[in-house]
Amino acid sequence: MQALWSPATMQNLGLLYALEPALKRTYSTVEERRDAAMRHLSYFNTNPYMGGFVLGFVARLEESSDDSRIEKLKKAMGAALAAVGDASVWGSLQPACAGFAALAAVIAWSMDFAWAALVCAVLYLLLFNIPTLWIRWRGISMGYELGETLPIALQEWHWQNKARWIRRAGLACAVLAPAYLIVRESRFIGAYALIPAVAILAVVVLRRRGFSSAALYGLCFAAAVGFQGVILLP
Amino acid sequence: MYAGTGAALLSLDRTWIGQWMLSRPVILGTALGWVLGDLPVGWWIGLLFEALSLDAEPVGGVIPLNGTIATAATLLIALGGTRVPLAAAFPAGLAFGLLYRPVEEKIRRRRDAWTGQFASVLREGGSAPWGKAFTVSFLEEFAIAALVLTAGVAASSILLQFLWGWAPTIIRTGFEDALSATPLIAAGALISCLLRKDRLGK
Repeated sequence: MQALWSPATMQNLGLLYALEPALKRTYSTVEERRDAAMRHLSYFNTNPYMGGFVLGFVARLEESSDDSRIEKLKKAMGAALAAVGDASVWGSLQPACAGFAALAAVIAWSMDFAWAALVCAVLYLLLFNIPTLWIRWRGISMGYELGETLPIALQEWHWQNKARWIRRAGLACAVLAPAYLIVRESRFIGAYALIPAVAILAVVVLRRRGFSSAALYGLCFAAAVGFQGVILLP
Repeated sequence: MYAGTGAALLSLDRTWIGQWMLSRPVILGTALGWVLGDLPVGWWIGLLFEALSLDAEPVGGVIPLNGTIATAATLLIALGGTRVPLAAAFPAGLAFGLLYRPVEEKIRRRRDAWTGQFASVLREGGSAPWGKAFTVSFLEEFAIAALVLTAGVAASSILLQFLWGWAPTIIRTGFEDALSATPLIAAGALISCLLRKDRLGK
């Protein structure tokens, strides 16, 4: 869906390419197919992992609806699914997978498991791709079967709740991974173990205030140079 | 060079090939580390950039830090022919990832013209030029990524090797300390990302 992505019209061409077989089946004349294709050259955007739903939905609309409704319904569905997909995939599943994989690899590494890196990579790929591939595939048939009742069916999936639990699980792993490292592997002992914990907390606070990770890296460098400068001052 | 070209090909998974997360820093870093002969370093750098690149989501027209390019550049500089210290390679890779954003935006803007071309061809009764559009766009994006990760990285490696040898101790120690602190920044960035949405989701 995101091949040929452009800022002006976003995913219009990707959607059109995926729709072509359905348009060929629905419209018997070249003129009708051309008019249908022209309809889908306008701006369109959605979350790529939710694109299957939109694809099936639009294919169904092309068979049953009049032209004036297709454009409006397509854009509305795309926008609604974009919100769901962005919160679920980019906002929850992807960072949670990073957290799970980091914890798994940290534990594997501390057990002298030489293939810790591979554990991390495989776990990440499985945790992300199993649900998203299922959504992408199932979405096409669901979008087609349910048509305009799709939004009602999707509400029953309680996306927000599921996304919240995925984020919480990911958060637990993201906290446990450095905690495990600090306790087991760090040179810090006793109260000094709090130092990295406080540093992580400071990063969280600064990130919430708008500092990018690159800016924080720059700050660390400046602080390290400044600190050395102070120590080295006669 | 082969590693750079391979990394450029894998980077296309972000929007082209399958979006199976093969281009994510943690995956690419692990693969590149294995290819370049230091799997643990590759995985570690990949994990760091995985967390650091979660600053912004690729929603709408937003182009976040390109963690793929950053990871690949860091590992190619540190583990490639010139073997620049990781403390110097990491900020260079980070710079590559940040500087690639306007390049990516230009690549995307060039595709604005395709919709107009499709409309003209269809109006004239022709077939949509899918083959041409996909081939040109794919090769363009691949070529630019490959150029950055081969020639760009090679030039940077030579420059960094010289600069690192010339830099005063205070600067080198500064970069080494900053690299030591980066896991804490990455952990904080990941936690912040997961917390942010949790707050909004309530």
